[in-house]
Amino acid sequence: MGPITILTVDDSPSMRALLKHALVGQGHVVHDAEDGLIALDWLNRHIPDLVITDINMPNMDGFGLIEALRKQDRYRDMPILVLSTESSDEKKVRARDAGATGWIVKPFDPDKLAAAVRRVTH
Amino acid sequence: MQHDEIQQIFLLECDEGLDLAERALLACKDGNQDAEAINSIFRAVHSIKGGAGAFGFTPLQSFTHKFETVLQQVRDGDKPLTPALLTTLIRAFDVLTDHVSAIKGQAEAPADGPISAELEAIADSDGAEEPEPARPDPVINETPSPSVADDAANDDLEIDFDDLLADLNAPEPAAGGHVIHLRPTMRALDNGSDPLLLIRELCGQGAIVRTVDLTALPDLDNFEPEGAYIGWEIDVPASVPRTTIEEIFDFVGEACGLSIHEYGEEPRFTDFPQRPVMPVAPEAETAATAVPNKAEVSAPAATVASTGQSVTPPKTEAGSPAPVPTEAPAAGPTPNAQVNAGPVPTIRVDLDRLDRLVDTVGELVITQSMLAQRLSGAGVAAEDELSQLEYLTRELQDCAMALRAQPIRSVFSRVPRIVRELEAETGKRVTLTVEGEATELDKTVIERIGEPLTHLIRNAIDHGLEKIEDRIAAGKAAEGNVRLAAEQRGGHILISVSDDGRGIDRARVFQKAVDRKIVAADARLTDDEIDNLIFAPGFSTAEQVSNISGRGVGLDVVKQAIQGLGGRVSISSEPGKGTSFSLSLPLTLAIADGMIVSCGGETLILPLNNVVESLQAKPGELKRLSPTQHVINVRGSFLPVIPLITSLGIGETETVSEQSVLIVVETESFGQIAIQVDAIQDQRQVVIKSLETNFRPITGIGGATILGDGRIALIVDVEALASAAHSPRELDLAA
Repeated sequence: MGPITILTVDDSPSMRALLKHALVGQGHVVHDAEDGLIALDWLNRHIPDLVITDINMPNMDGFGLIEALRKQDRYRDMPILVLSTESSDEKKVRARDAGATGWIVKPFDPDKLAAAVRRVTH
Repeated sequence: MQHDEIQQIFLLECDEGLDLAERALLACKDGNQDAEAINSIFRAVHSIKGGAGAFGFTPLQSFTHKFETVLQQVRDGDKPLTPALLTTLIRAFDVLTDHVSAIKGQAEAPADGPISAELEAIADSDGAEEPEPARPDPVINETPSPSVADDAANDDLEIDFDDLLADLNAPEPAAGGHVIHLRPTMRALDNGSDPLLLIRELCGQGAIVRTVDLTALPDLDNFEPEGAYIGWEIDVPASVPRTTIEEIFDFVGEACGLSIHEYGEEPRFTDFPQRPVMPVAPEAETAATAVPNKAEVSAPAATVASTGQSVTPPKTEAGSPAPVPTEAPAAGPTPNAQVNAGPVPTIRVDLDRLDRLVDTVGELVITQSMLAQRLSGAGVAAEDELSQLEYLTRELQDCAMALRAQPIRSVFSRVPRIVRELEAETGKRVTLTVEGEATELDKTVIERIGEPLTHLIRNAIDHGLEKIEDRIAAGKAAEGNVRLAAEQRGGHILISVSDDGRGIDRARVFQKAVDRKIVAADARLTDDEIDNLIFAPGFSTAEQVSNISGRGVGLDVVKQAIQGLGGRVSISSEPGKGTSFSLSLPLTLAIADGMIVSCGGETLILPLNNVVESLQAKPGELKRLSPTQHVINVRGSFLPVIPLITSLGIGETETVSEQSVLIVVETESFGQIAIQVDAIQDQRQVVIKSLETNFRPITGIGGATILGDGRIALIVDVEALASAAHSPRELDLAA
């Protein structure tokens, strides 16, 4: 898998910085957004290879973002990973129903993050 | 960006989060609880939890987890936010604040046992608990033997696994790895998922595809481009623990029809019902039976990959025979990056660099005035350029100072918690009003103002406010009021702490001061003077030390701290109505506007902030009270005249004549006084150099500066001068 373009969405600056640090270190190009709405706006103008999104965010949460993206043809099959501190089955089911491709538990280990990215990108 | 820097961002984020959460909690306490308030508390705690885990702050992480669980139940409506629960949440918030202080190294980690237990009990009550996800025990095999799989894959299915495992000296047959079966459902390729990637990952770790089941593959007419038809049987070596397999398929296990079996205990792959999960049309089913039942392969991953790709379809609408390209005009809410642009972008700067900038600007101010003096001395006409230079220097200085300025909010935000703690300790009820949080002060002042301010707040609640029953008896509301306010007034920041309590009991204060031998028993003091006695060193004593404001330090410490910042403390009190402390602090500690005066051959600076006007006495305006004391009548009010020359000990007593220049200055504690000097030289910015750090503190002198000609001039501390002239007693104390 070569370098890809990833949009990370998280309202926490440190989490965005950690993600960027890890993903750029793995050779990817990383953009970030502070919440679902800002992400959606960016995604209307750019198409990344992968979106990694937090769930709990102001303005538009991760579920809202995923649902909005899956309604768009060009994002119907794009991998979207959910990054969450939660790991309850209930939340995962909710994420799957919304259209998430995978799940990463925060805090993440950079190797596990890399593995999660590999699992959804060709 | 380094890890530490990210950690710094996290710490800042914690502060912001705590700030938001506290405001929301207090809003709830005030009865303004809405979904967004709860949500913002939840988000703040959630976010701190995320970072805590990422940076390995385990106690913080585990505490926030418990806190978050309860918050989530409240948010989701599973738990009503009763006043009792709110109190618990506020207490949990306080402990959370302590946890954050602990990770900053500012405090010990708090003992969160009781509150944690409480949170857990709340979370578990009502059956509304959030079940911990069942985590299987990690089965980590210490004897990796990837060759098991290799060998197994090279043989056919009839192989005797027991023999094979015995050959490989596997300690336990059960530890010999796993066989997994995958029968992806029709949804397996939804949402950009691709089971093939997962199989590839497994193969990368040594797994071998044993069997590919194509029985479910329909004929072309019935082939759904986005359907998944192939089943896999995969040998996973013992080097790959079961947890890893589960992790790989964590999110999609169900869609992939995953089943994991111990080596040798797997059901026959063909025992699965054929097409168990595929809703295929009846005729297709018939057609599908024509396909060979089972394709056996001993294929390396690459072969499987290509097989997989051959069935990975072009992207069309699943389940609709004639895919209609749906134009999707961003069906979601319209994003608006401007509205939600978030905070103003900031840049973090090393404090040392900032200080260097401020210092350099200070030097620039000096150089600029030297240059001005030199040029005018040499008769060079450069007024326009000089005034432009002065203007630019001043701009630059303002910018530099603004960089060091911070809103006092960071200090004030600690107060609500102190008040809550004191309410609990004293049993008093307090309504706190905070005003002027946005007022900006120099960073150094912000850093050092916290302790004195805390002390004053404690003092106000502990000593100022009466007990509830006393308040009611006095006809007051049971809830006491404490007001904390900051505002900028001229070149000063005024911070006041007021209460509506009993006021200072002057008879008791005076008696105590006499007992402590601070004043003579026969001294006659004004109310103001008595009030100010509480600032005298040694006034606060063990007798009155309570847990709260006592702590063995008195208000003299507050006064010293404020004076150390170039500020003043004053007090006003009305019996039965309350007490108010005012702190007056300079905007900046580095540069001030000064009036340069000469006196007895010395050049001295009066801070322009204090100067009200300068005047020469007209005949009859000067009145003599005693051989050394004069007052001047300024538009009807009599101001004491203080000759600078004698009060600073520059020269011999000089008679106050009507030729003297009098400068009227405003002081915090003593109102206006007139300072007598020989002449006014100039008015300009001066860079304040501390006498304490460079020499030693001198009463009446606030600092020193370097003049344009390179000479050093002392800056007069007007307040101390007034206080020395006003009450010689205090000067004696200081000596």
